Amino acid sequence: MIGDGIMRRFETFEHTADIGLLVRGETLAELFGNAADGLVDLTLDPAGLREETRVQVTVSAEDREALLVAWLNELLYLLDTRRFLPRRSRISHFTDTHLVADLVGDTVDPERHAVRRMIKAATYHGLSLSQVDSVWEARVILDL
Amino acid sequence: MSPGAHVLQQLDAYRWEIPATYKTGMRVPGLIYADENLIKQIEEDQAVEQLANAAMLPGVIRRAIAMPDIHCGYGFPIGGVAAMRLDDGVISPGAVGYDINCGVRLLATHLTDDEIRPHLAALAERLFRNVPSGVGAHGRMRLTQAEIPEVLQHGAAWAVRRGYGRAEDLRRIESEGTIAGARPDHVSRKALSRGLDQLGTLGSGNHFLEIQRIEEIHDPHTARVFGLLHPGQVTVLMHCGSRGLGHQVCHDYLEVSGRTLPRYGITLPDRQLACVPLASPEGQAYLGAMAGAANFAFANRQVITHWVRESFEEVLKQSAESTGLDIVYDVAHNMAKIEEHAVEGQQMRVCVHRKGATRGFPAGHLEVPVEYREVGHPVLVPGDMGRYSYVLVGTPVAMAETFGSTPHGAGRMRSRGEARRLLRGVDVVDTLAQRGIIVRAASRDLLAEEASEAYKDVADVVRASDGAGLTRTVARLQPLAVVKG
Repeated sequence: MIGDGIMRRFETFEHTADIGLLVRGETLAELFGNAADGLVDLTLDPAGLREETRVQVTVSAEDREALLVAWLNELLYLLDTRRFLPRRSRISHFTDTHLVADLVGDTVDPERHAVRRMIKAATYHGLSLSQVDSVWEARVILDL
Repeated sequence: MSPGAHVLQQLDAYRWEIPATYKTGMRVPGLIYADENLIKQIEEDQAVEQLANAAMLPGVIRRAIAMPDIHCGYGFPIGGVAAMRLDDGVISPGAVGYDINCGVRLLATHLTDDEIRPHLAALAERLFRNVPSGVGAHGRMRLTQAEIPEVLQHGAAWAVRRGYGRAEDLRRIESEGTIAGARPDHVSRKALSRGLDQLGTLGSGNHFLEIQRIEEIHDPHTARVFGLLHPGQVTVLMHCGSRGLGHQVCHDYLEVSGRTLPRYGITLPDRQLACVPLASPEGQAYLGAMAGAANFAFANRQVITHWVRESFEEVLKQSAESTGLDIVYDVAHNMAKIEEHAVEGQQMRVCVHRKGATRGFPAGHLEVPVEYREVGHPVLVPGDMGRYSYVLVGTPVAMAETFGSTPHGAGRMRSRGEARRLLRGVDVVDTLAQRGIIVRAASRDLLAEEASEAYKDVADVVRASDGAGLTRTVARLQPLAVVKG
């Protein structure tokens, strides 16, 4: 189990115009869940999110790097169309080109939530996903 | 310093070339417009590499070009320009970017700064409420499934027809606020649904709505033609784009392009540069979808303009017409456009990608509105919220060298994290208030990311652009009140 004290599940790295998200996980499914948490954390203070709405999503892409981009962009799609952000994401089915996720979260309300910044998209630029010493690590640049 | 730092060859005081021999796969050289001071900053990030990568795109004509505000983006550099041949060239959704037709619109009023100052706080508050911005904001209007294709087809004209604005507004928008050839049927259901309640919203990040005063007029004749009459005159500047609808169109077509690269035998150094031949079915579909997203952005700025006028009416208790609030111009700075240019002595139609670059057509060009044709159309170059923005005009030099392209802004100097660390403990709102600038923001804590310290001085960018002969400075505008998402 990767705890915050041992290894951070996600952190940001510098990029001139945008922002980079560095994500880790013991499994790819865990990494994808952590990537969702990182995206949410950049968007608003997740502590304010209630666990009151359930959403299941299915995402497909050409390969697992593209799947990570597509997954994050799917969450931005849900934010735009349903104002939904997940407090918890569980990847229930995962292959290199396909995933099913069960999300539990809240409807974003600027009156109730400490909003941070709007992310336009997850990009393919400088995208990487690899396993280092049994830990999966991904880097993705987010367009702000 | 980036790996490309010492590759640049200085051609003159404002032109720096990346030789086509720098990297395998470059089809043409790269050319950066900058002065000695700016080029040092440019060399420090990956922008030079990104411009060299852009020079690898099939069908690129003459050279890959960068404006003085070039900085590292994702894939294609911000401040980059690349024109492609229509027959064997490509179109790259990544080289347009996620925020299709992100752009800037300037309005001019009949008011002076002295007249408006007592109302500034109320105006900022009203604008903040009337023009939704930031995370979780939704538009004040919700389009129906039947309406949204109409918006994508007709752009600002749709908004004016629906009562958002004045008929004469359209003449002073690039392409009159409607890009021809939009194909809503090539825009995904997901993209359309993201647009349903986002018309008339600002977004966040570097998007803003600003009440300003003219600080200085540099070219009185041209300024007068633009309706910019004297220092102290109040203007309103907005910066926003096609919102989630545009972002989804870009994502969808990057997927399509990435998938079809092998079929068209294209290899690229960066997945984000994924492209398809302009003449291919995928290329034509993207052109149609991009035009739709661009029209959505024009409609977005048109609806916001209407709400700006309403806000002024509500606070000043006088009609918007008597206040003026006339459009000076509206320019796109993330677009690919089919335009006619002189290439090796021949007039030909090409596809000009401008990502973080503004079209700046000069005097006499037929796409310049009639009332501006003797001087060229305005080029709007926002700076940062603490300093100033510029109104420039394009020149024949830009037409000849950069496919009529000019800078679009200050360009970032510090990453968001660096800016936050530098300004730790500083309340940006209070600091600006002490200088007479009112700021109303959805996320006050993160304003440091957008503070002056995060950006290059736009005056340096303008000096380099004017020095290279791409533009001529017309006027400088100073912020009085800033609304941010």
